[in-house]
Amino acid sequence: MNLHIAVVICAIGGFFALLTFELVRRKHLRPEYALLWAALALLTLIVALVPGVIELLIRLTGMTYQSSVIVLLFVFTAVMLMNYSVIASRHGGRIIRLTQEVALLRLEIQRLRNGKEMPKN
Amino acid sequence: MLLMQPAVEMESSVNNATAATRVIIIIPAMNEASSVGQVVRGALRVLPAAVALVVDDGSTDRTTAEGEAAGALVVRLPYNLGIGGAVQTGFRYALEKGFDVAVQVDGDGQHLPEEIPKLLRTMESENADLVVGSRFIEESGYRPSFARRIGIRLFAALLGCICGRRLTDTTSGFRAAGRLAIAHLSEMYACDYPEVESLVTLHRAGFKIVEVPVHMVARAEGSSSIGAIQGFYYMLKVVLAVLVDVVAKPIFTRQEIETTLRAARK
Repeated sequence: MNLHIAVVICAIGGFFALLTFELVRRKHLRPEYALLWAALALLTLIVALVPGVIELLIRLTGMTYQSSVIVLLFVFTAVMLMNYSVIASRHGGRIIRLTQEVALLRLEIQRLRNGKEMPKN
Repeated sequence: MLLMQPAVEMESSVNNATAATRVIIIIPAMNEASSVGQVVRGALRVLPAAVALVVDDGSTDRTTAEGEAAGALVVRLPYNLGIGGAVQTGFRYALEKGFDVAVQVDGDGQHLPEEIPKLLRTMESENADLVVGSRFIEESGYRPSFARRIGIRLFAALLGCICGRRLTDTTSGFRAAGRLAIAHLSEMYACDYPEVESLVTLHRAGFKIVEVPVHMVARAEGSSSIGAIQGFYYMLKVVLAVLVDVVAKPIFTRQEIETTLRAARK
């Protein structure tokens, strides 16, 4: 890998590392969700800084063409999206439960205010 | 799990044959102002000692006011959760307040309150955890369209295979659930296709499901909004959801619930 490409990749990795750190620091990104992004930054930096990693990857995966990088990007994006789908599902379930709890609490408050156990005819 | 906290008012009438069974009638309603009052009055006339709980699923009309005027408690959801989320709200209330039986009756008036005692009697005599009112066991005067009939048959066959017993009306929302089933449903009630899916999860969790023949009133105005293509798509989604339920974890078994509730009472 020539120096030019190494510098560019290093810059990209450094940018993601800083961005992730800064977002977490400003509390725009919760640490648990930052892990995947931190891993991406770390991997990028390793590829740029440790000589021979790219060659090793090429030998292991058989991706001899530059365009194969797109496949790697696709895999990462897919993992990321799956991660968000799981998070969204979890939040969806929690919102339903919260909605139910709020509605039940409101009924309870109303009953206490009215000072009677059950309104009955 | 939230359920694992001991319920506050669980003491009454547990394992006590002489104590009266506390019954709650859960009535999910979304924009049913014209019928919900009648349903509540009908239910309370049949079971004067029961509590009627209307779950107003984000109505924009006078559903809440009509329900209260008829003598029901009304839980008002701040936005529309869908039938599954609405009914589950009722089960959660029933669990928290320690009711023995929760009867689910639609707010649109298609279920007949006079048939509620039939569900309760069957629960008692068959020692069932869930009793489902079925339109199809006996001649009930209900005449679905051809496409609908195929769908109903398909669900019945699928559920019959999974549950290992004959089920005829898998989408019926006219049901009665006992204490252990209430606990299960307040945790596990599916929000997508709750009637069909809950049969699968309850069966897998070891609950006893029994059907009884009932009559239902035909839809008052217009026909069902489901067309042919949407109908097929709906069937596909339900079948997928059911297949997911067959392998889903955790299943929160009857045994576990019984153990937990017994421990909570001590």
